[in-house]
Amino acid sequence: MTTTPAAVAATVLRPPRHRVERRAIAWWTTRTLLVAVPAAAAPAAAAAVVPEFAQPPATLVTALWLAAAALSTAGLAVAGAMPLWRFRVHRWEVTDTAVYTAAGWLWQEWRVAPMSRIQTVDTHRGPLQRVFGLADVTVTTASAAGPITVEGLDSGQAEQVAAELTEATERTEGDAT
Amino acid sequence: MNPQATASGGAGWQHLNPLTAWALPLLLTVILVPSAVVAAVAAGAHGDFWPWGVLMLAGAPLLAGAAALAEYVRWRRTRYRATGERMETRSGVLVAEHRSVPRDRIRSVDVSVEIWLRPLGLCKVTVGTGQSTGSGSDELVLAYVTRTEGERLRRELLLRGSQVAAADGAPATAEAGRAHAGTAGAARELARLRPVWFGFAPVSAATPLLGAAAVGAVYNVISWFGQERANDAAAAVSERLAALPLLAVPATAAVLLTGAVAATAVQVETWWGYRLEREPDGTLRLRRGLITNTALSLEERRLRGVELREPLLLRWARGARVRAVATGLGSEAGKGGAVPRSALSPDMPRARALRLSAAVAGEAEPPVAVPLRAHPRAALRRRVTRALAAAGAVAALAAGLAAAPAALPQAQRLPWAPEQVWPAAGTAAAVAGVAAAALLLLPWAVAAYRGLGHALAPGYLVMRKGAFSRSTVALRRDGIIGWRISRSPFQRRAGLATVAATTAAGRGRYSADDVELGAGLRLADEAVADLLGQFLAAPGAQRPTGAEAADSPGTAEGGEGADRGDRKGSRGDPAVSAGGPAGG
Repeated sequence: MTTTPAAVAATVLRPPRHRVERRAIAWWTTRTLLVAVPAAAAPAAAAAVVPEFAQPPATLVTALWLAAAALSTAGLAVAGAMPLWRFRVHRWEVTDTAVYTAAGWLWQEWRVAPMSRIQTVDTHRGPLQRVFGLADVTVTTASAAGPITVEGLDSGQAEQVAAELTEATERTEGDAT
Repeated sequence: MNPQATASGGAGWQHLNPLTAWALPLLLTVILVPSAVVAAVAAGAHGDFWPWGVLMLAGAPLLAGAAALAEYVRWRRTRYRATGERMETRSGVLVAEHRSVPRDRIRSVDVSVEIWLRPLGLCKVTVGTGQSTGSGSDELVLAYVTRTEGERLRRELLLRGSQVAAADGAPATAEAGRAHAGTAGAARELARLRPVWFGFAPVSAATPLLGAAAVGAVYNVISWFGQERANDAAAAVSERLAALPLLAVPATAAVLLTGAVAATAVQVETWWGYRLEREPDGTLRLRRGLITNTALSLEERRLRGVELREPLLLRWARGARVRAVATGLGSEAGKGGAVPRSALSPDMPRARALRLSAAVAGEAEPPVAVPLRAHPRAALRRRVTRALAAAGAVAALAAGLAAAPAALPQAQRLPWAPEQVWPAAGTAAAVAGVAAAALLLLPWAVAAYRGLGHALAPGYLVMRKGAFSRSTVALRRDGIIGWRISRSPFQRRAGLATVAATTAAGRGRYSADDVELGAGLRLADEAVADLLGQFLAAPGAQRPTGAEAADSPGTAEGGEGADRGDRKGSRGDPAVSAGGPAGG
């Protein structure tokens, strides 16, 4: 390597070309709230209901209210920040030779798999995703280190991408290991 | 002896060896009958021959008989066949199971002879495949066939000639050019056991564990004669130690010595008769084992690299061990055995291990020995920060635990603890935590940083990591089937990234942790041509394949570049409506 440190530092991954569906923001928000609201409501409900039937120590009730406050604050913060942030990061691209995705928000990950090593292409639509008309496309290789997933595509578009990927993969030979 | 073909849905189906039905019952008889007799005699001497002694004498044959029946049914229901294209097994007593594996997916054949199978001339054949075959496991097990049949299967399943290899894509073509042409006809020995290597056994991590286990076993044996007695003995020992602390030195030495002897015994059992050979049909053949003879055959075209393992103590003793990075050998953990199936050598001198790794890889120079590039100082800072945070957490926890009782209302305080003790104890605990940090965590941080390294060797990507168990992996570049680059918030601040190469072999992913982002990306780009390059961007020198306006972060700070470019490119992206993959 004869490159100068400055030149090395300048090399970056450019983001993949396509963003995911904008509806994914609503999907991620809903998904977060579906977890956060019950998590915060449970201690709050306990703190409100238990003194009606028993005499718990005052510290316990205070602790429950504090827990409810902390959980709802954290849940709201995540629900407010995460979906937009995630939407800015999540992107995907398929070239003639490779599949390339970016995902995550605080912890971010870029994955690349060569077209010739793709083994299976699946689409997946959970119940919540169906509400928003979204789907995931999952591309697996022979590696045990996990597949490449594009979350939050339009379901029609996902089918199309999966079909095109499958066709492209079938053109390559070998057992892709 | 040789199993005959039976007519059950197609030709060529074979039963396991009929002796299979007798192997387990025989073992049970050998173990149970003498112990039942001894127990019955003991019961008779005690005056309880009726009914306990009779029960035991009758129970042993009953158990063996039940086992014989179960094994007979299993033998009746289990069939296998190896046709030109597939290896198939049918089994299952209640639920019929049919497993079928394409022959070209068979990665390894493992023939093992446990000691109780030896007089019967039987062996167990484990066929490793690269794919799950229905019920989750990635291997087919034939228990048991004759030794000759096992040997025949081992040869036949892996010997498929060159027509399969030719159709297998890049790794196979690279394999074709490898230098074992001169070995046609005879197997070439790569390594053979030298008993002096067992000298490395006591410095394994197993020594203290086995020593502690021995102490536990002694306690257990004493408690057979009454829990009271065992507790008394333990109390006596601890009293003696408290009175004479210097006794701890010989006591510890004795425990460690016991552990060392046990560790050596385990090594001898596992690696006795160790031989690693390269066979003319392009397989590596590993034989080892004193009580359980194991012969593992591994196709060389399934080999994606070699790994050099140097656990801390072994490293200090200038030893190392060699592992294969191969598809179809299962994941990291061995199944029940003392060593994983990917182990290619016992602990041996480092220089010898390096030579062996070169021989296994088919190279003149060991790829794991190339000079490695160190990772940036920021990686060291991250490890030191982690060590200090852990030490701080320990100290805070200790201090908190010590201080908590003082905060309790007077009524709830423990009566036996004088109040003045707590603050003193808290201070002492905090000091101890900080001292532990200085003595253990900081050296760990430095060792972990010094363990980091990466380099490109001809044909290989070499990555090293680990403080306690240092592992150097030389991964064949044509075995890399993808990249994963991940960055935590802290890594982004420090301009670092974890660059992981995914592969079908071994752990599935081998990573260079905390490399400088640009250097890591260039490493990945150079390691595999025409893969990552199309997604890289350098400000001022854009590649023609670059996306629209996505890559112009006008800063030399690589850590910020990716994020900023991301945000910029996100506005007015026409690709959302494009509806499909974009051409390159």
